[in-house]
Amino acid sequence: MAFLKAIWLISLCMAAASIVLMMVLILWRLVRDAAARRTGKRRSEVTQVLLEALEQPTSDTMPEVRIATRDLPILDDVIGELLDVVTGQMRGRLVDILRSIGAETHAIQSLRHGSVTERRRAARTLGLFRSPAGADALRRALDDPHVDVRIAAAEAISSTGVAIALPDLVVSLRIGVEPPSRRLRKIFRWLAATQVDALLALLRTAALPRVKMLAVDALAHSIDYRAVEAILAVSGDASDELRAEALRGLSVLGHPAALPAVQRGLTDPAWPVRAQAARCAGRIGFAQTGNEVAHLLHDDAWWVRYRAAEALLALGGPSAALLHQIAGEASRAGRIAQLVLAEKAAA
Amino acid sequence: MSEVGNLLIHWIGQASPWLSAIIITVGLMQNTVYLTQLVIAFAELRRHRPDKRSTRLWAGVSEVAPPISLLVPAFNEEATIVENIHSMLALQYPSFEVVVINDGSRDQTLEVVIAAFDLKPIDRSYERSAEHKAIRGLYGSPRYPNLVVVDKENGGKSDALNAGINLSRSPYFCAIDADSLLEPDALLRAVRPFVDDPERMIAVGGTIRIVNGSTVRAGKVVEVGLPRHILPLFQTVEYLRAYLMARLALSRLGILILISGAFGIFRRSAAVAVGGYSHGTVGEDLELVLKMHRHHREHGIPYRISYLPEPVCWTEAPQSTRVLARQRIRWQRGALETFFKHKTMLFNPRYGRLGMVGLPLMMIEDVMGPPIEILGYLLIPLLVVTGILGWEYFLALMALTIVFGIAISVLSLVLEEMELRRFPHARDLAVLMLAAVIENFGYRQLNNFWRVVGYWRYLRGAQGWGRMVRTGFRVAP
Repeated sequence: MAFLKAIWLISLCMAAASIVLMMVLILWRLVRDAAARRTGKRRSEVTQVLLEALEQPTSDTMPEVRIATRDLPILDDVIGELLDVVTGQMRGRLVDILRSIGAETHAIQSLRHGSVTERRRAARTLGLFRSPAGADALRRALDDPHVDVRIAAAEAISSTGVAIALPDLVVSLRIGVEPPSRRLRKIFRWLAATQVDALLALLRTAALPRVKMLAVDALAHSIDYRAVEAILAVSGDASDELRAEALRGLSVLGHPAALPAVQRGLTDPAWPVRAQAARCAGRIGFAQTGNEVAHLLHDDAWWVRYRAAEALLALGGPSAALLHQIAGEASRAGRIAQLVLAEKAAA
Repeated sequence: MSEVGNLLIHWIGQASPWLSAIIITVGLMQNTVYLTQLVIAFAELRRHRPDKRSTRLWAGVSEVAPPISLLVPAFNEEATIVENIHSMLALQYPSFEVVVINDGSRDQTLEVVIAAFDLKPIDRSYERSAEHKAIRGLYGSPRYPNLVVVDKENGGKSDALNAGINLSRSPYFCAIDADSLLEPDALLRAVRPFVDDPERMIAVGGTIRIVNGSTVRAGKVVEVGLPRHILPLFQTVEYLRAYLMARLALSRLGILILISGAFGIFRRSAAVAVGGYSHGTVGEDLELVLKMHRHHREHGIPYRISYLPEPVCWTEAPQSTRVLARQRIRWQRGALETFFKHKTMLFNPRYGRLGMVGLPLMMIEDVMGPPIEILGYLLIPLLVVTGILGWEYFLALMALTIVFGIAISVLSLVLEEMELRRFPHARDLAVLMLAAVIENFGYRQLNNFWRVVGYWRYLRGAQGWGRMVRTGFRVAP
């Protein structure tokens, strides 16, 4: 019986405590709303000061901008907002103004001591300044315990051309060890603008298919034809995903040297590789693969049949004629040929 | 009194200690589960506080966001479908298509869509990977290249969604109700787990919020408000509890088994691998997620299924008792159908945490909870009045249902206010707190009664969805 009474008393205490807590939060909300109105006003003022400085006529002298120290935390938010709308020369000017008011120093501190959100924002802000101090802070942030901060730092580093050794970046971002974020592709594509040689070396030496796939994608988007040979070298790898990625990369590069890899891919045991090979054949225009591609119209995998039909249409000439001919057949191949022809005609 | 009556009283007298012990134990288990979920949800929200600004999201993920097909099954939606399609086409997302599936509507749904978007018949090649009724026609327009309308024979929501899965071309699809409104940045937010963990993530659910009382302009909620009617207000508190507390905690534990049919994103290949949505169940959303769990566990494929509190989909809550009753009866039937279909997973170590924790939690909350609570309301007061049980039993029953119910509802609101603050005014919080208290006196019991009716219908093998009467959004002038 005491146990039952205890349940009653505990429940009463919990209900009372939750109501009291909620009432405190409601009062606190009233206080916060008032504070938010004040912060909003200060934020508008800070934005106004920055916009006025930006609008001053361009001259050798930097416009003098004064921001109270207590408003520096507000700057993080204001910077984010302005960066979304300010581009080109104006952006460079904004960066100079922000540096003059100590935003860079503040961001370095936030990157070291802030919350996860603050550290992430600070990394983005520091990417603007392209200064040695900011670059050092960003390199340190690559070892941040939180993955979002590490990736934000890597994005800032790669987008601004700060020197970083690729193998170190692979280790810091734990590529191949932790689940690969799609954002890594963006980072590697940016790095490809300045580090093609390093990416080529990474593709040759990396042990993990995931790392090689990132390198293949970045190299393909660099449109540097030195990448063709390196990508061809991995197009016969044991990993299905890497073989498909290699063909995807080769179709982006559109180089005729991809022909042997495409021909091999058209008969690959893995259907995603066959689908990519058909796509690649159509994109690069390997008319000589027409018959092999047409054979894929009978493939068991729908995506392979669909890509093959698309490729035949893209190849034009005899291949497209073959597609039209097959479209007249009452078969699975004929059906996909008819639909792709109708679809493309409508488009 | 007859001999049978005496026997009955004797039997109840004999069994009452056991029955009361079962009622109290199940109540205790339920409340322990809820309190644990609250603690886990609180910790999770502290770890991942969502970014309020969508421009930052756009900068962060737009370049790498995968294409998504929005699947919108529509049945007799002529009044709202055009505005809702416009709102979907205006979503902030770099690459998406809207696939509207007219599931054999008996009104002018198809005709109004064709007229509004100047659609013409088209051909589209597709893989028949999930079963569905025959497609009568496909429609598209060069003016809206990312809109496809499918006209098919009536087969129900799951059938329509399967047709959408087959016709979609994107690696991911988002199932959304035709009468729901997505926040403009909802897709961008919901896709984030797929960007961060593209290999393992197979499904992500967002939050469903009640639109009653909010102001809608051009298919967008422009001012968040509270429902003016009591039933939708109670449902606002209920949804807070269900999403912010339960789903967040279950997601953190890796045992989330329900992604609402009104808004969820799925990896297409993972849904196709389990044959898409199941037919013959009214809980097709629950069933799909459980099938996906099961498939991945049985084949040893690493996977993740997550819930995010921030991507928001607005939906209209029923404000009549009759419609709400039908909805709750249907939900209960769906839960039971799915639970018993997958009962072999229960306490089965082969299914890891899902079998050892997820399914047992479902058993406590959905299978045992409602009938035992109703039994408690009927039996314990009777036994106390007749002197068979002491009044402490009655107090314990009230504690485990009403008083703990108040604590848990209010604490969910505390969680919302501490971490998300999505209700714009302090006054709204006060009203919600009051609703969180009052709902435990009557509404909670009514809900449990409907669930017991759902139980009965399940046992009798009833079919069908019942009709949802929509009152329409409050539109801004």
